[in-house]
Amino acid sequence: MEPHSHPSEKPHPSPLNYIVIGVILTVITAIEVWAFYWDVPMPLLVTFFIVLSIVKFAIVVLFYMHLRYDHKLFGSMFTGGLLLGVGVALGLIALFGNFFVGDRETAHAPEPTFTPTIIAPRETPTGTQTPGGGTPRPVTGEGVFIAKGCGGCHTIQGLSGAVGQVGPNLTNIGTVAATRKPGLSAEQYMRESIEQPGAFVVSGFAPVMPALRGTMSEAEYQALVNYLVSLK
Amino acid sequence: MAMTPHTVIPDEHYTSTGLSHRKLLMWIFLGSECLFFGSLIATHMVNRGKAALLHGESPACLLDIPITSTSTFVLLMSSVMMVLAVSSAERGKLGSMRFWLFMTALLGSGFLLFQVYEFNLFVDEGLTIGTNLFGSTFFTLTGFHGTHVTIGVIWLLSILAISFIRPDMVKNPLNVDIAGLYWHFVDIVWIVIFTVVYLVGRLGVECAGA
Amino acid sequence: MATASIAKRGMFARPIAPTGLWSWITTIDHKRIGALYGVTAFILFLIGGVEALLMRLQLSQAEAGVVTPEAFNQLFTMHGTTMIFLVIMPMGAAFFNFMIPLMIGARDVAFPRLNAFSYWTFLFGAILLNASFFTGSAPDVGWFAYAPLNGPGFSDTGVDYWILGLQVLGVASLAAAFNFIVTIINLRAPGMSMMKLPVFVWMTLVVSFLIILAFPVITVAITLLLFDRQFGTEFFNSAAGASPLVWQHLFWAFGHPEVYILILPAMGIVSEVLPVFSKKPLFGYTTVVLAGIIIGFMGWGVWAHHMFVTGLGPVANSAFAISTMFIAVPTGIKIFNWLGTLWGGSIRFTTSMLFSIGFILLFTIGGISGVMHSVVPSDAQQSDTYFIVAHLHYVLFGGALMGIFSGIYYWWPKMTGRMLNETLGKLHFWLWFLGMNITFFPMHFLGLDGMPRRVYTYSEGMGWDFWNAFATVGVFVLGLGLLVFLQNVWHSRKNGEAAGNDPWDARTLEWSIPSPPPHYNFAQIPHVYERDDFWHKKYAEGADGRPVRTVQGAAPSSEEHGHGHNIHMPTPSYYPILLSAGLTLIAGGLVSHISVSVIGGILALFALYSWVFEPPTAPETQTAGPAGHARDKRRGGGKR
Repeated sequence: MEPHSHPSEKPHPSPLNYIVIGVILTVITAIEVWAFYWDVPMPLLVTFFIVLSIVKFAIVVLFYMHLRYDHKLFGSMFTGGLLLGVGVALGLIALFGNFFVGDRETAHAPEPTFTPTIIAPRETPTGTQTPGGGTPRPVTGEGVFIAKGCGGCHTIQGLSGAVGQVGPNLTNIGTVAATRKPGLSAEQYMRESIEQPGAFVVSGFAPVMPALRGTMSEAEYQALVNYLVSLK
Repeated sequence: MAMTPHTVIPDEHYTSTGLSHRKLLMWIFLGSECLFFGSLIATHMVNRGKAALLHGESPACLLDIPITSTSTFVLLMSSVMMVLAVSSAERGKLGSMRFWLFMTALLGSGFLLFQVYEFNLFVDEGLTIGTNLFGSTFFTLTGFHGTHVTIGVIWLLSILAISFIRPDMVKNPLNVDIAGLYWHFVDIVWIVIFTVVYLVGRLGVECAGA
Repeated sequence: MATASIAKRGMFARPIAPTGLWSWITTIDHKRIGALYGVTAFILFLIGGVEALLMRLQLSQAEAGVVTPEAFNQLFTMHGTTMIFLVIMPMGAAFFNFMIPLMIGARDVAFPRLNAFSYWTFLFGAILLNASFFTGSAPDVGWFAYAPLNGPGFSDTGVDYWILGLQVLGVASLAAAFNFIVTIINLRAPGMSMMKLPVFVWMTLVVSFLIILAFPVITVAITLLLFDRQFGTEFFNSAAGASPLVWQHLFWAFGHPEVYILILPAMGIVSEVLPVFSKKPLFGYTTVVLAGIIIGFMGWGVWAHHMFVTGLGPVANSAFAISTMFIAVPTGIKIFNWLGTLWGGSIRFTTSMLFSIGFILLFTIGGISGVMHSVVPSDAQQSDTYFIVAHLHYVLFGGALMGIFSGIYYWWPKMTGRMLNETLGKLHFWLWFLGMNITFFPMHFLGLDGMPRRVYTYSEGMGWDFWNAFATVGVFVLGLGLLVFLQNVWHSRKNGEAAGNDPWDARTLEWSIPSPPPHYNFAQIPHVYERDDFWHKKYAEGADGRPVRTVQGAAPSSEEHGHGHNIHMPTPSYYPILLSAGLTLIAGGLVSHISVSVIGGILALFALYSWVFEPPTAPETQTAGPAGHARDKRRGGGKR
């Protein structure tokens, strides 16, 4: 018969205690849900949620899982794993620098260690480099073209950073696109090239263009397409 | 563990600590599971905000706080039922143990139904596991959690069935206690997921439907 | 524990015959399971060795045509995966299984059926992984399978076998680790406090914790990869915004603790062998134990040193470089303690002792190149070159494997009851010591000279020809040593000297019982009063501090007389192997046909539930006479 109580263990709570604790847990959850709709700065709210969830976590572990009453060994086994799990998770998050909350449009991406060439003014591309990331910038077709790495494979005369030789030269793509594939307008062909680059590959070039539609928002995509179609 | 030397003739049930092997095993297992869920949660977190937009807005917009709060409440209540089942087992009350076990499994299944409903809702909106990075991490994380809940429900119903066909095997409250530890763990993992994925994940995200 | 009285028999009669094939298939005896692990791991060692031989033949000359580039990729992938997961870890497991209960004064592990399950799952996982050779493509993406090469569209089904094989093997390792933790904490003989445990037991405990904490991380990583490959998820797809580096982080967060899982058992063995053959207690027992524990903890903070060339940035690079340098400290402490053990000792240069001393030397060399890697700019040059190959083989061959063979020579008499021939053993040692240095030392030069690893050939003008040819010669020296070992094993079966209980005049509990041990291990569980309790029963401290043989010697007590009445040992069972088979079929079905998985699932469920209903000890054996001679009329009486 395995012993089910050890001299150092304390008696477990009564059913009534358990129900009271259950009520406390419910109240805390209700507060969390209510807080979700408060108009309070985000970091504060996030901290509040994290604190409350730690409290609920601790209540269940200490009282329902009896760690408060049972032998300390059980607690150390679990806590060790818990701390390591949290540590690994935090370590990974720190390494990827992904601390922000919210969607990409308002997100604060970490400072990149490599500074891409971003064109700020629309009319005259300059050779100066503007540090990227951090603040939201106006969405321009040229900006998207460079930011998504298109310039690494395609050349557009006059666009600094668009010097790639892997794919066709796009300096006059606006004109070419209109007649490249019968039945497709310039804009349609443009979209097809970005969404399904394998659908039509210009002869003499390798079919290696990645499908990059998924990496940009609707606004960015539209700007890019408009820009390319305008290159007559 | 210092032991005072006295003549103990250990029988085959002897333990160095006086603690049950199986209970110790369950606690160690739960420590290990923290790493499992920690890695899954970390993978979700490092990919936050990087997913392609769905219908022009963040896929996190699909998360429905009112519905998930309800399912969270259901799972939390199932933990209350569970601890009452353990308490009944400890006090030798077979009848109420069976009742509370059944209720725990029922509420656990209720939680699962909520999950299934939510998954279907997302799929209808165009978010599947392969749609984008959010879909991948979300469905994998909550899917594994749901699988753990399912295994728990099967376990509890098994104990319930065994309590009818072989009542001698449930005489030891340890069996229900150990099942309870697993069940509560699954609950506290959900506490973390609810906070991190739903509450924090939905904050500050601009959505058309607000 | 459910101590139910069975009203009716189960579907199949519980197997209780002590000999024959079925007795091995259904065994739950830790000693037999240890033997199974050992033999299986050794066979896989030969397979991994052939993979290495083929690679070395290919590289012995510039642009040799021994194997195709595709085959070469499969060879280095499978060699690494095999040696790490199917050889070193199971060889450690063989010793954990055989020795831990004996060293702590227990009759078996805490969960004997779970123990058997671990072995069978390991075997089936090994088979699943190697089955990939027969399907056209073994995995060919390196044992670490970096993204995006490991992803859909860039690699073949070999990677799926790799994933599923590792999942199955992971279950085996986890189950074993859980078992050993509970065993070591809960089944120590009365009086055996934690700080009286042999160091090997401590190292096993640390390794088991590392396993249960690290394997879940790789389980997640390979599951996410499986999902990417099979369900179209985007976890490592950069076009979807994900970073392939997430794979590397998850993999190495597992991978670094894994290398400590590989080395700590060998360090434990060395800590047992050195004191016995120096006739001195281990120098600084507490420090050695603490150092092992600290290595276990610190091992979690160094993983990104495998990623110094991935562009983590100066802050991350510095942090991991510093933590990596620091982890050399507890390791160094152990080395000094081992040297301190040897110092002033009355040394006997048995084969086992030679392997342990060889370990210290070769592992230190590997450790030094390791510290060189910790310097980030140096590592930038050394990464992906043969310099790293040199380092890892010094620590894993010169370290882990030599340590394991020290254990094999040390514990062989205990496991088999016969001595291995010392002359052949010493020849084996020197051939391996020599061969290992011939093969791997030149790789330091080749690496610093720029020879890249994992490339199937090199051009003539690179100037690498000589050392490559030299290294390949070393492989044959190693092979010769292996043959000597095999001859020794074969010869000792019939001609080996009978060992007796304590051929080495050793210190720990396992030497107080017959060789091989009776199936119940100890007729009477000993009461332990101090560390190296068995030694202190044999020797008292004389006036000058030297050991003096006590009058009664180590009282053999009733063990010698073959008693062991009324000891209820757990009964063998079919369900562990059935559950293992079920789980492996589930995995195998995912690379072949889903119906296989369904069958596997049904089998697994049946085995699981049957296991739950089966009591650990079959009641019908409890009324039998002397333990092990259970009389079962249907099987025609107990045979030995």
